[in-house]
Amino acid sequence: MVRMLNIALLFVFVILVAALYHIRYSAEAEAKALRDTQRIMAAEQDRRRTLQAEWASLNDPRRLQILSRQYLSLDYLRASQVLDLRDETTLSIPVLMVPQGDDDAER
Amino acid sequence: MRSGKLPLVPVGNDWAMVLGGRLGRRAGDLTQHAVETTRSRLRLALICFFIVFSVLGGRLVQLTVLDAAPEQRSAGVHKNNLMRPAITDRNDVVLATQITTVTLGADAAKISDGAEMAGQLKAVLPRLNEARAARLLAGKARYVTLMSGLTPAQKQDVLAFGNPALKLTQSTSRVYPAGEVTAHTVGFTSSDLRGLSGLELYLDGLLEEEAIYGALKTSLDIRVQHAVRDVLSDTIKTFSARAGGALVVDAHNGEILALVSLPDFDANAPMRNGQDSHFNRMTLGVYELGSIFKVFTAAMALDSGMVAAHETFDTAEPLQIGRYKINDPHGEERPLSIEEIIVHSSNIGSAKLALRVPQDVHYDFLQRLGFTDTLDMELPERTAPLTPTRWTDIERATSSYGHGISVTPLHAVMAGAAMINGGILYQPSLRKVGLPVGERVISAQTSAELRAMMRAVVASGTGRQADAPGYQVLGKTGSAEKPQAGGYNKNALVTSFLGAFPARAPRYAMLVMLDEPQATDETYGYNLAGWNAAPAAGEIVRRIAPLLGVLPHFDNPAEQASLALPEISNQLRGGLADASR
Repeated sequence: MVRMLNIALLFVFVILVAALYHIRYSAEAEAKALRDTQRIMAAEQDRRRTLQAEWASLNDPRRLQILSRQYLSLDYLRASQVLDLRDETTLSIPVLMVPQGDDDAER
Repeated sequence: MRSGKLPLVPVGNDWAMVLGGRLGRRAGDLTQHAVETTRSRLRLALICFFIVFSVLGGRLVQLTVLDAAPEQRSAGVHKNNLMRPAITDRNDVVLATQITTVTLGADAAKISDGAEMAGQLKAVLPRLNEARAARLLAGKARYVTLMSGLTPAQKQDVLAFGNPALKLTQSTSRVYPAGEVTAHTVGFTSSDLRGLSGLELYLDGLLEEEAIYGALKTSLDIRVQHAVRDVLSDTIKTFSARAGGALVVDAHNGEILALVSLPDFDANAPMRNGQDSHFNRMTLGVYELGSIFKVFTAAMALDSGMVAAHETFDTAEPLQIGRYKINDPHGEERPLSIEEIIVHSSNIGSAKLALRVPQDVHYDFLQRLGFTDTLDMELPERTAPLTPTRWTDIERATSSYGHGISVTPLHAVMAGAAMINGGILYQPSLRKVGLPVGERVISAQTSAELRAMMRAVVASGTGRQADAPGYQVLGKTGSAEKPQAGGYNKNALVTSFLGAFPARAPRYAMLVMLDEPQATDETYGYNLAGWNAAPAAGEIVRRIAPLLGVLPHFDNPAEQASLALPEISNQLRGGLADASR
């Protein structure tokens, strides 16, 4: 009886050792995969921050102002260029047209 | 176990046996006793082992299964300085973030042909200074820095050489895409990423209290900030001013949209400009701001109920207080209403208004407006105003028109916002405000009267040049001589314009300040606020109002028509007319 018990316990012991080995091994593999993923995430976040910084400097209003003065003939938006669509008189004005002096006198 | 030859002895008997001793027992029993004793002790040991291992096992289960919380450890990363949150403006445009940069160095002693290596590197690194690299590599130094700021692709190219003498090092650096534009608000960090000024320093304190995920969102608007800075720096150049500053705040919650203090510095290279450029004039500088204080005096007089709205005050004669005499530089020399006192900026009238109010009410009013304390806000660079040590009639009279009391421009603009927003004083904030909490300082009725007075200043008074057609600017100019040892310097002025727009329902309050502007030919020799600070304020409104979505409004259609764009060609006009049919 004791011998049977010992054999059974030995069997259990061997299985436990095997299971422990397997768990440790796969845990290490998981840890490595986790480290890899974290490294990739960190690299991606770093890349994202770099791109955001680049985006911000490309859209820097100072830079756009210099470029616009150099290559475009645009000027600052004037109050007379803004029309309120809720305004009744706006509806009678041709598309994108600002009321001109002569037209206004007639209206 | 019961199959053994020896009978099982209950554990309890073991103790009875020990206590009872062996005297009087038979010799044949002794062997069996010894076996039983051993067996009992073994069992006892087994139970002890079982208990100990149960405790250990239980603890193991508790630690690994029940209390498993691996994320608790990674939360500590946010405390790490290497992971500072980014700082953004109100539209999520990055104002400060950190990027990893790669620096290329080399062990020159291990490189046989420096010139050849420099040539090879130049092929993959176009920005490399080849001559300098060749000279460094020809030497025998164990480490020379060749180039910093390599892109990830360039880093790969260098790695592809497979030369162990080439060393690549990574480092994290904080970058400020807006550079000078937001330097005074965002501040900067040391090379080990600790905040040294501005919001960066504030962020250090904040991180100790709470973890910030993502970014610190400020109330600034980079477009407005740039436009304000652009106009102000042009103005400073035009009038050869020593310095200047401007603020734009949301009058209904205290959010700061733009804070400019010039001269400023590049946050990416903070030590390049002098120390003077680090001085935030808007929150750390205190100035006698002059006549813009007349607005506060009028508010106090009207709100206290001691002065009736239609009352007039004689300004014909200088006001004598003790041995001091208060004059109007360009006096009207007639009785003036409160509105006329503001529009014509009468010192005599303003002093008379102040002296009608009891002494304690006057001081209490300034205290309520925040002119006696440091403002509560995010920037570490802030200071308390300088108020008179005595509070007699002469101090009250001079402080009524902004002399003898020095406040920061931020104090003035926050109090100014309360004057025109219906009477609620808000605390300034560089972070977005959820639910604004303010304190009523004057009645809505008084605020409406002040709006009318300040609009009159721009429509027909000293602030005419601040008007921006369609946006109805209101405001008040202030030109104060700078104090110097033994009096005031008549030639050195601090000029300012405290304003708001649009006048019908002011949403934004602003302040423009210039330090020692000079007269030019265009200003007919004047260096007063109406000639420099006011037109700058008008230009700022013209630039930022469309950005802020403020709809222009013209009371008179002819006014709008007169501002229309240059003639559109008839062909284009025809085309547009066709398109609209």
